[in-house]
Amino acid sequence: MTGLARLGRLRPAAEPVLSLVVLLLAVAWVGTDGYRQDLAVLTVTYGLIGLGLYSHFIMGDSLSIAYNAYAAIGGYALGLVAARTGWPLLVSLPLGIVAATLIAVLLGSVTRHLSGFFLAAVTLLFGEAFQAWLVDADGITGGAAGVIVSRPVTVFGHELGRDEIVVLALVALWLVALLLSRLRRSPYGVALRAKGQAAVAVEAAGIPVTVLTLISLGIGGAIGSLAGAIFTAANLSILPESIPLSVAFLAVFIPFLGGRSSPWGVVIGALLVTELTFNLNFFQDSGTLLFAVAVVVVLIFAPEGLIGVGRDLLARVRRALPGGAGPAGDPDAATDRELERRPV
Amino acid sequence: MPLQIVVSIVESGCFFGLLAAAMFVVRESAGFFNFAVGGYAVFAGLCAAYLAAEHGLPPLAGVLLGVLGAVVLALLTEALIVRPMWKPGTNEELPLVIALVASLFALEQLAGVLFGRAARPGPKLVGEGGFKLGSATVTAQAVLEVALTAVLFGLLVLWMYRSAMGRGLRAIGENTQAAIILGLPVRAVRIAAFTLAGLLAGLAGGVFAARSGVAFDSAMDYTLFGFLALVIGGTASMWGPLLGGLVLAAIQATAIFYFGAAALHYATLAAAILFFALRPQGIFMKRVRV
Amino acid sequence: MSAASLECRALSKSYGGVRAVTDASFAVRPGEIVGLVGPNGAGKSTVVDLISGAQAPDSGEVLAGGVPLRGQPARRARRARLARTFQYPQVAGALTARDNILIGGFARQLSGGLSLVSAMLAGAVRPRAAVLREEAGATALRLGLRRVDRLAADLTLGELRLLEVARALLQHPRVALLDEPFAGLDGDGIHGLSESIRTVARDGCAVLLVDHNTDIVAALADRMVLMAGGTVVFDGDPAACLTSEEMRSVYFGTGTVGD
Repeated sequence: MTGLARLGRLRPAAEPVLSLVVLLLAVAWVGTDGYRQDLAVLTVTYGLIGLGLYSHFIMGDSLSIAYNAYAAIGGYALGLVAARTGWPLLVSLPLGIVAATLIAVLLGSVTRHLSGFFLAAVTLLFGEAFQAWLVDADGITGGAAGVIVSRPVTVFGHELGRDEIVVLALVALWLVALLLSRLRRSPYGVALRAKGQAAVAVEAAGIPVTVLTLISLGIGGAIGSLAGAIFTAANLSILPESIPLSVAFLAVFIPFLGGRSSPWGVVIGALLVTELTFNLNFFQDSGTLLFAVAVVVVLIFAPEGLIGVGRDLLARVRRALPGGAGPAGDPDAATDRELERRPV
Repeated sequence: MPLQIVVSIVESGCFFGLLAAAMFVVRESAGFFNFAVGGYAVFAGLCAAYLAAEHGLPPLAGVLLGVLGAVVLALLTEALIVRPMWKPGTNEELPLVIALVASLFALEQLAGVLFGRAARPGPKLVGEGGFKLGSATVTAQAVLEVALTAVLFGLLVLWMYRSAMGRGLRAIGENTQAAIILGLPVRAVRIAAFTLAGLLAGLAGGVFAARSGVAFDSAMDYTLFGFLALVIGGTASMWGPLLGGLVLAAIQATAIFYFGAAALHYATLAAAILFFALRPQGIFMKRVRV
Repeated sequence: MSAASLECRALSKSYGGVRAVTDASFAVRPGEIVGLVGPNGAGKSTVVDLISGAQAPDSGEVLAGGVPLRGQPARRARRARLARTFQYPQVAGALTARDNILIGGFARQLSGGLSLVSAMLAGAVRPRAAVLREEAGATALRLGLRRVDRLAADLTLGELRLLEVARALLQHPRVALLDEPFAGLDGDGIHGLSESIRTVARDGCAVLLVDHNTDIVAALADRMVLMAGGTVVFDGDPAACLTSEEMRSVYFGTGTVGD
């Protein structure tokens, strides 16, 4: 067994350890610096929305794009519980998650027998309608003024300052990414990834495809809600335009930038997107245009993102080494592929 | 309901119908939904408005240039996005879905960057005249809109069902794999379909802009309303998009009349959920060879 | 020998005006290999779809172990331990061959709503399904599919067919519907596949084997069913079927049977 292959064997155990190390480094780096904390919160918000998308979109080929709504549900749940009730704030978390999950599943079930375009359309419509409703239903949502988290965030009596909330946010991002990475390799994950391209076969193997899809959409909604809750806890307020629909578009871009073969690619992509939007201020006006164009470009030319580029390089290195991969492959297979991929 | 609202419904219905027709043509020839059409419409409308306002161009010239821009964008969409990404006969439609949604977003932003993010009044192609129909006033603009829509749909019907290319387009859409093997001009037909889509969406955006102005971020709405109109009307007939447009406009107008302006999005969403859920069989993207 | 593992009773299916299958009836006993042959358009694949649940018949019914089969394909596959392959291989190109085959073994874990949720939670904690992966690889090798860890998109058509069979076998089926599995295979492939079919039949599985290559089917099958124009025109001994009047007219056309 070559050295690289032995390294590959270690990968499953290495993942939680390595990522934990990176997490601790990140926490240490952020520390108590306000600016870095803002960066961290933004990265976590983008990252979680990206991970939510990942769980059904990258894995299962279902495009549910109402993430402004899921995040708003989570955020407003926290805000409203804080401002309007005397309940412990922690209660808002499951409330928001359940609500967002139900909506995600509802939208998915309405379009479950239809092509992916329908799910995209109905979730876009929902996202827009929800945005309008947030401003409209000012009796419930506080309208354009939004909701302020008027109470300090306390968990089981212990008050959480901003520093601690930011640390918790980073931990949440790490945990969700890790769980999704393991989920991806589980039977559920493999079946979900297969159903986008071979739904008939997955169904024929005894796995109900629609249930699989709905569950993945539900997971996405839940994670989106968590993103909103964290954002609101860190900023202590939420407005209708805090998490607009365009954020969902940027979040779609994130896995393609970082790499689709692993949820960690979402984390990398989120970091990059935050850096670019936050730090490079001259992107302000044409920023979103640039990103939208970049999404399209990346989709066409670099579908595997940074991780894919990294993999390509690694594969090339492996082949260059003595005892590396074998001959170029079966010529018949190459021809078949050629025929299939020749653009029409 | 006052007659004036009915007139308004007809106008809106025609607008949605044209957008739906733009989607219809691509759908029939290639089997997928071109989500970018809203972007073509907004671009044409804003371009015409911008040129008329900032450069003093006569409205007609502005609209024609806007339509030209829309056609160019449509062809670019076909060449840069659809051609590399679309594989007929496979189950993989998702890359195309997101690429088109991303292009919609990009087109929207492009229009915003080029022509400004503020809403603009559309270029006036006709004067202020009008006539009375019962209690309602029908403006010259409304007459132009309805007439244009009627003419365009009439031409489309003739083309789709009588011309060789129109029939060929539908045949290719029915079974693209076979068409490729038989050596039919699949790409040429698709280019024609996209040109038509750009034309229809561009005309819709340019001509109808005078009605209530145009803003860059309407592209998403235009696409969604056009899509919904197409789904409601169905793809069984060339008149389907127009019928669907009128139904959607009616639903929206009724909701706004009874529940206020904010009800627009709620009503549209409700209509979408209703029609998607009640559809007895979905539209499947892959060609199932059984 | 107890009740038939698989039974089709008077199945009929039309598309528009075309009658794809008319009044088709036959049975497959546990451990029996029944070959379903006939020219293109005879209705063979439609029958397979009707059995697996991919299509609903206009009339007639399908029974497995004496119990009528109803509902979606996934439900039937679980209830009747039914596995099938497809005429045009349905595989996820972005996954490896092994991962594609693995799916066959998931049915037991991912069978329904609640179990899916719990499998998902368990999966989030311990993702490896090592034993199943081994079995998937071994099954593939037995069939002659060596490039198990290549992406399915890189495999040849013949390898994809073997992949489909491996996936079906991983379900440990009681009823197996194999649709044109031999097409595109070389001598080794044919041998490996034939052996695997015999093995799974020996374990008590009822095998319905649909293929164009009547010689291979006749060598393997215990019984042969010949279809033409949507109807069953012969049901009996393979050797007799090959030399029958019906076979001759169907394939060489005397105009008397199955126009």
